[in-house]
Amino acid sequence: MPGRGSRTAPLRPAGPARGAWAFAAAWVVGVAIALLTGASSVVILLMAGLVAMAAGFVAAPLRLRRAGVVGVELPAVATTGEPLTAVVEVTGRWPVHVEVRVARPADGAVATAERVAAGWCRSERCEITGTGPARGRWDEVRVTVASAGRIGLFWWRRSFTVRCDPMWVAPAAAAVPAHTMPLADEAAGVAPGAPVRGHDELDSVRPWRDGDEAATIHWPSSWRAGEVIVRQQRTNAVERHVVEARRGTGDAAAEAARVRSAVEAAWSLGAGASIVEVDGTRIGEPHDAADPTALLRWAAVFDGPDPTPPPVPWWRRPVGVTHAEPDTSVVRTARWAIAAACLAPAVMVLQPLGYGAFHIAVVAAGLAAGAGLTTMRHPVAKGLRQSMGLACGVGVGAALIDVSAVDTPASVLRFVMPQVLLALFVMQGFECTDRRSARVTLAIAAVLVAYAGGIRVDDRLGAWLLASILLLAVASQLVGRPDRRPATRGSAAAPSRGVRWRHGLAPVTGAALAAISTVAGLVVIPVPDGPAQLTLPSFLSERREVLDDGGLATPGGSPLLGGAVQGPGKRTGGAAASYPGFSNRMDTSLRGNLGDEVVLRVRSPQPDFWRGQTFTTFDGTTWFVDEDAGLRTEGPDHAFGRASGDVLGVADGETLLQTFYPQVDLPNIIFAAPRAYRLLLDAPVWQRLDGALRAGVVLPAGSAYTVLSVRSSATPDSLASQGDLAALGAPAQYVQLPGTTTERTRQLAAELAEGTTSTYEVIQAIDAWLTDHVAYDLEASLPPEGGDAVDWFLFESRRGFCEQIASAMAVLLRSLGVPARIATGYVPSERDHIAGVWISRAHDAHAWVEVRFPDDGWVAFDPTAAVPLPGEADDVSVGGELFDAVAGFVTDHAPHLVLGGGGLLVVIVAGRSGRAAVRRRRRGRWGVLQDRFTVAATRAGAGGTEPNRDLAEVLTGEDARWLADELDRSAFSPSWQDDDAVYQRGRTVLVELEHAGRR
Amino acid sequence: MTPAVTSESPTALAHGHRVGVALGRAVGGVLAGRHDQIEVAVACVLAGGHLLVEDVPGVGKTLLAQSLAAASGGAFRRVQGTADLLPGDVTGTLAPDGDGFGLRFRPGPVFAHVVLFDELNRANARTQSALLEVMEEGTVTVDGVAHRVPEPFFVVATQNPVQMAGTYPLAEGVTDRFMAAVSLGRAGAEEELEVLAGRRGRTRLDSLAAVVDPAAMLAARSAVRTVHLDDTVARYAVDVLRATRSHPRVRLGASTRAGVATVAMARAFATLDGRDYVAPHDIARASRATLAHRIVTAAGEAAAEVVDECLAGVPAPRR
Repeated sequence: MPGRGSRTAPLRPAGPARGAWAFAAAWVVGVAIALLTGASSVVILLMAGLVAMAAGFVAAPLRLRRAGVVGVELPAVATTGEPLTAVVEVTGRWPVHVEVRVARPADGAVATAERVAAGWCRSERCEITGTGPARGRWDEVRVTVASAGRIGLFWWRRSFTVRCDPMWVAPAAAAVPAHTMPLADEAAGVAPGAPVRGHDELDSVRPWRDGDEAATIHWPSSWRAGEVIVRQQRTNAVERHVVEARRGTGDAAAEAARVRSAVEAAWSLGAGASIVEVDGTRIGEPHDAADPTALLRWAAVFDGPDPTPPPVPWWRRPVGVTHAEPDTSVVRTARWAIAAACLAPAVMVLQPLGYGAFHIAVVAAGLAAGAGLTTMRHPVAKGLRQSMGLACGVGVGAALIDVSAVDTPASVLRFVMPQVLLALFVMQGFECTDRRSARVTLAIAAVLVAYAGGIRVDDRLGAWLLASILLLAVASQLVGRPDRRPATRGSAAAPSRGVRWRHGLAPVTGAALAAISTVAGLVVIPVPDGPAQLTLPSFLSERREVLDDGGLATPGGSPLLGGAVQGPGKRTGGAAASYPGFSNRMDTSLRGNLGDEVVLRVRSPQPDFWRGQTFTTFDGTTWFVDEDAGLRTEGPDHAFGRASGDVLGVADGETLLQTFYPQVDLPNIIFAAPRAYRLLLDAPVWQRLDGALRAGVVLPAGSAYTVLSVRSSATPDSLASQGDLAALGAPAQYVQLPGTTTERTRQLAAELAEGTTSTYEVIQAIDAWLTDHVAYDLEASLPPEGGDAVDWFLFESRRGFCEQIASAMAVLLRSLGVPARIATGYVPSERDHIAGVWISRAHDAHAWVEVRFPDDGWVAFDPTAAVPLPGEADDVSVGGELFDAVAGFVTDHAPHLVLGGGGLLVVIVAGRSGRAAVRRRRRGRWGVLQDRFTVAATRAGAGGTEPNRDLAEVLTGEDARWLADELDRSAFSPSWQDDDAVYQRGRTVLVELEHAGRR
Repeated sequence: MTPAVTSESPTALAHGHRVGVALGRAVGGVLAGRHDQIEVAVACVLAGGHLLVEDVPGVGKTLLAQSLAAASGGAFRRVQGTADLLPGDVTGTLAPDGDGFGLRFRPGPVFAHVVLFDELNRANARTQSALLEVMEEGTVTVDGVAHRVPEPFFVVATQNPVQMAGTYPLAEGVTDRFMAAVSLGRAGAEEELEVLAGRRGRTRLDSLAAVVDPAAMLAARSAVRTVHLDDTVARYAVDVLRATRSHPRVRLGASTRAGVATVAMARAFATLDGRDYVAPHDIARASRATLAHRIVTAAGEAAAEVVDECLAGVPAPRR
C-alpha cells in the first residue's frame, strides 16, 4: 500500500541510549573527585566530558534537521506474525532508524497502533523488515525516524503520519483446517459427487466416501486394508473445495485461520476453493476464493474486527526501561576499542602507585582476555564466561595486592582499595557483551581517568589524559554505531567522492570544535582551590628515621652536623640537598653548582615561597640557625601554634593548602609556605621557634605530605601604610649586626632611607639600588679571608648570587633598625598546567629576606626572583592554563610537530599508494579496472551482483558495453591476451564513465 | 533472400555464428518484432535442444515454429495435439507388410528433422510420454527394436497455458525435456502494423527458403559445443541452480538437467554474439530461458520473477 508522506513533524527527544546514564553518573563522580582533589586535569576531563555529552545531545537534531518521509510501501495483504517488508523513502541524512507502525481508529477516538517493521535506513529508499500486526484492516501508517547522530548517546525522533491504501492482515493458517467439502467443478461438465481426488488419498485407490458407486469398490485392497476401498478414477476436471466459515464463533480470527488453512490446502492440491459463510443455521452463498490476495482480504475482516484487548493496568505492566536505542550488540571493533580505552586509565592509575611493566602487562592481559572472550565467533556459555572473569579478576588482584604492605587502616586505602577496584574493573570486561554494559565499562574507565588525574602530578599526565580522552571518545562512538549485521537490502548507492570527503572530514571538524569548546568552557572556570581537606595525601615511600632528634640530616638519614658537603674551590657539588642553605650554617660565599632535575612538585592553587629554614644570626660571612630544636609533635596530623614573630593566626587569613611531592630524596626539612599551622605526615616533627619544620624522618622521592598555611593578604598599600618599622622597635636578635659591618654599609642604608616615609619604600629603594648596581653572577669572586662579605659584595665585587644579595638587603635593613632575617627554600619556577602543580628544580633552591611587619608578621621580599606578594596574585582559569600549556608545547616542539605532521602525511600517502600497489599486484591491472567499473556502476544505481553486461546497461552507452565485454573477455576467454592499446582505451572509457557518474 | 550457409566455413565457431545469425534473420523476416524471443529460439536450435513455446492464441507461436522449421531445412512434420491422439500416431507403429504376414515398422511423424507438435497439452499423457524417449535419446523403440530419428532432430511444441479445460498439463518430466521455454508476448503497435500490411506474418512464410542444410546445422551444433566455459562461470550457473532450490517460494527447484541446458544455451548465446567463451550474462540470460518452465512455484507465483530474484541474489563472477 504505497502512500505519500509529509516532510514536517516535530522533533522530540526519544531518550538516552542504553547505559548512557553511566556517563552522567561518571561525570558526577568526576565532579566529586575534582572537588576532593582540586586537580586541574580532572576539571579538563570533566569539561571534555560535558562538551561530549552536550554534543551527543545535539548531534541527532542536526542529523534529523531535514528528515522527512516521502512515502511508504507496505504489502496490500499480510499475515499476522509472518515476516513482511516495508519500503520507506526517507529524505535528509542517513543512516537513520526507521520504525513503521500501522494504526486504525478504534471504537472511540483512541487509535490503536502496532509496530510492523523497523530497521536502519542507509539510503533514500530502503527496505526494512518486520512481522505482520494483528488481524484486521489498517488504514494509517506512522513512520518514526530516529537517530542519535554520530555520537550515539541521546536519541531524537520525528514521527510522520502517512495516509495510504489500507493494509489487510489475515491470521496465519491454522493447523486444523475448517470443514471442507470436495466437489467436482460443475463448470467442467462433471456431475457433483463424481469421484475426485482428495488431499489424503492415493492416486489409484481411496477410502469409501458417501455416494460412491458400488461398482468402484476395489475388493483386493479392501481385503488388505480392512476397510472399503474404491478405485480412484483420475479425472481431468478441475476440482473445487467448498470450505465452511462459521460466523459468530466468538473467535473470528481463529475461524478465519482455519478457513485459510483449508483453502490453501485445496490450492496445494491444484483445486479451486469456495467459501460458504454459515451463520447459525443460515447458509450464505458460496463465493470463490480467487487468489491469495482475495483470500487474505476476506480473512482480515471476516466476522467483524477482533475486539481490542483491554489496556493492561499500570501495575501489571512489565517492569523495565524501554530504550530508544534499537541495537543492543557491540561489534568486535568497538569491543577492542573499549579494551584499549580501559587499558589507558588502568596504566594511569598503576604508574603512580609504583607498579612496573609486569603488573601493567598482567592488567592488560586481563582486559584483553575479557575482550577476546566477549567477541568470540561462537559465544561461550554465560557461566563459563563469568567464572573465567572471576578467575582473571582474582589473578589480577593477587598480582597487584601486596598484603605485607598493609599495616594501618590508612594503608588499606593505598595498597588494597585501588588494586581491588582494578581487579573488579578487569572482571567487568568479561560482562561487557552488550551496549549497556559497554557504556558502563567506559564510564568506569572515565572515573579511573579522573581518579588518576586526581592522584598524579607528574609531567606525563597531560599526554595520558589526552590519550585517554581520545580513546574513550573513539570507543564510545564505536559502541553507538548502527548495527550493520542484519543487512537491510536497498539501493545502497555508494557515496560520491565529494560526499565521502565530507563524511571523512566531519569527525575531524567535530573533534576540533569539541576541543575548542572544551578550552573555551574552561576559560571561565577558575583553577580549583587546591585539594579539599578530605583527601589530604600523605605518605612516605620509605621510612628512614633521623638519628639526631630535631637535628638536620642528609637525604640518606645521617646527621648533618656542619655545613654542606664542600667541594674544591668552596663550591659544592650537584645534589639538590647539598645546597648550603639547607644546613645549620649558611656561608654566603657558597652557592653550589646545582642541577636541573625536578626536586619538588607542589599542588597548590597559588605559588608561594616553599620555605625550608630561616637564619637570624649573621657573623659577616655566615648565617646561623637557632640552636633550639623546638617543639616535637608526633603526627600524623600535626597542629602548630604561631611561631616567633608571627602575627597571623589560623583565623586571620586565607588558608593556602599545598601538597608536596618530593621527586628526589630530600633531607628532613619540611618545605612549606610560611605560617604553616597544620601538617599531615606520619612522622614526628619539630616546629622550631622561627617556624621552620623538621621531621624525624627524611623525605625520600615518591613521598607526599600536605601543609596548610595561613596566607597573608599583604599588598604594597597595606605594607606601606604600616610606616617606619624601626620606630616601633624590634627584638634584638632581628636587628643584630655583625661586628664587621662597615660604616659605608650603614651610610648606604641611611642614604637609601632618606626621604622615605615607610619601611616598604625603603625596601623598594634597596631593591632598586641592588637592581641598578649589582649583577647576578654565579661565578662571583670570593671575599677576602676574614673580611665582611656584605661590604665586599656591595662595594668591591658588586657581583653575586641570591644568598649574597639577600644578605646585603638584610644587613642594610638591620642597620636601619628594621627586623629582618634570611629564609631559604625553593621557589616555584614553572607550572605544569595540566596536572596543576608547581615545579621546583634543584637550581630553584633560593635565599630571600623576610621583614617583620606589625600587622602581617614576617613578609618575604626577594631582591632577585619576582614572586609576587600574596595579595597581588592573579586569578587563573583552567582554560587559560590549558591554553598556556598547549601554546608552550607548540612553541617548544614546533619543529617536531611539523616533522611529525609531515611524517604522518607521508605515512598516509605511502599507505594508500602501497595498498593500491598491493591491490594492483593481487588483482592485476584488468582486475583493478574491473573493480572500478563495478564501483562506477554501483554508484549509478546497479545492485552490484549483476553480470558486467547488465552493469553496462546501467551506465549506458556503447563504450560501457564495450568495456564490459572486454572485461569479461579478459576473465573468461581462453584466447585472451593482454593488449596495451585495449587496456589504455579501457582506462580512458572508464575515466569518462566515472567522470559522468560524478556529474 | 538470405543465402544458404554451407559447412565450408573458415572456422567452426565462425560457421556456428553465421548459421545462428542467418536463422535469426530468416525467422525475423517472418515474425514481427520479438527479437529476444527469436534469439532464444535460435539459440535453442543451435544448442541442440527442444523448444517449448507458451502463450495465448494468435501471437504467432505456430508461425515461429514453422518459420524456424522452414529456415532450418531438412524434413519437416507437424503433429496436432488432440485428446485421442495415440503414441503410435506420433512415433509410428508396426503395420502389416504388404501382402505378407510379417509386420513392418511404419515411421510416424517424429521421423523428421524438425517436428512441430502443436498444442502439446491437448494430447493425452500417454502420447506426451511417448515423446520422452525420442526427445532425450533420438530413438523410437517399437517392439524391442530401436529406430533412430534423423539428425539433427528438433522438436518445437506449443501450448496455451490459459484455456486449460480439457487439457493434460505437462508433467515435470516432460517439461524438463524441453531445453528452453519462450513466451512470445504481443507484438508492438509498429510490428502489428507490419503484419496487417503483409510485410510480416504468415504470408511471408511461403517465400522463406531454408538457410542451412542438415549437415551445416550439425556442424554448427558441434561448433557450439566447443565454446569455452570457464570454471568460475560454470560455478555461477551452479549457484543459480542452487538458489532456485533454496528459494522460499519454490516447491521444486531446477534439476541438474536444467543446469546442463543452461550451459548449452549459454554457449549458443555466446556463439550468436560471436564469442568463443561463455560470459556470465550468457548464463543469466540462458537461466531465464531454461529455468522458468522447470521450477514449480507455490500457488500464484510467477516462475520468471522467481528466477529473476534468484539471479539477483547470486553475485556474477568477474575478473
